Amino acid sequence: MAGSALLFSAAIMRFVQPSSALQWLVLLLTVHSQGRVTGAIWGGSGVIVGMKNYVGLQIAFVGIGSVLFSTLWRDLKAKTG
Amino acid sequence: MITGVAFTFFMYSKKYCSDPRIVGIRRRTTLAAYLVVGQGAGLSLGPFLGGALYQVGFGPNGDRLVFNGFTSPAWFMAAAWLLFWGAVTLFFEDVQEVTQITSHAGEIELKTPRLQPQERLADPPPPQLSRPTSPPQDIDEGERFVLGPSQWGVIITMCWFAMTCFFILGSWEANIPIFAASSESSLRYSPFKSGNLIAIGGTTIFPLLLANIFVGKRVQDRMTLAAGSFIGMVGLIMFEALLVRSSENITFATLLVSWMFVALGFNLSTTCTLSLLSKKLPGEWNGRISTVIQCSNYAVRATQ
Repeated sequence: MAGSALLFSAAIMRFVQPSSALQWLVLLLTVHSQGRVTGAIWGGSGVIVGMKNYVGLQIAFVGIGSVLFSTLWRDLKAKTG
Repeated sequence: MITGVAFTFFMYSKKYCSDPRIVGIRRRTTLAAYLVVGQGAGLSLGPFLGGALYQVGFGPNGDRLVFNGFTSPAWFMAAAWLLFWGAVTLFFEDVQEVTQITSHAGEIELKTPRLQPQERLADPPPPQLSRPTSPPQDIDEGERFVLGPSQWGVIITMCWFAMTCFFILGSWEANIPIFAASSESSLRYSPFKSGNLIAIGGTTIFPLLLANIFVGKRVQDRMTLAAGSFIGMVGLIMFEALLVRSSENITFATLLVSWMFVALGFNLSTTCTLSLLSKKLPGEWNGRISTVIQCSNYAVRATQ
């Protein structure tokens, strides 16, 4: 299924001009669905890897994300609406 | 296992749910908030139905029935998908109309009447599929967007958050039924009860997500992102702390509260990833019309 998502986005990419902003949107959507798929797999194996590790990895992910948006806080300024 | 199968279907629906977002690029935060409300509704309805359908049971001799607790979610989703594709076939004409209207609007703005023939090309579906992709963009070549380091940073951050949010939401949905049924916890929940727990969490955060439609218009996306990931992080840390102390501590209430925080936080965060990225890469789109055409092309492609 993860592979199908990749193939799917690869198919869309063919219709998108290289280096256009739309390409990044397609990438974003791919990352969305990939996150979903890997998330379900990780969630399914939560008990096997140990619940603490399972939640720990998620905390680490959010932590990295927080570092990213804190450093880029000024660049993230955009119009509301 | 049972809900695992059911969740596969929820996962599929989510994946396809994210596709129409391509269409919603320019509705920005508000539309993203609407989408997340839909997501929230699915989040509570889906697990509830999955759990409820498990109650269908297995007949007197176990698995003899064709429509039983295992297969009913699949049957249900098959019917739903038939309905969905039926609706797509019926309303596809409407979608085309809408894209035409918007492209006319864009045309006036950009003052490029030349684009009209291209747009007509995108109109009849199959034979012209390959043609309209290249010409409209060549016209706007001058507007080509060069990515600076800060833009790269924004793209990476947004992709990271998109991935993280869905990773966490997806894993929680998959994990709760398994964890609650396993010997790791003292809950011993049936899939039905786990489904209900997820559904209750989804229902309680639903009003807050609705409120976000109105509040989100006035709040900066980066604030929503920060607030969302903070709330989600609180939920995660709460759950981790409970696990570290002893899994005996995890009761219906504590699991529900953790799940509510997680679901609310990361659903909120997902509203911004798309809208913020689309705002940070603004007029440098290779012409709005080409975007619209690409979208209609893509829509055609997807239905074939």
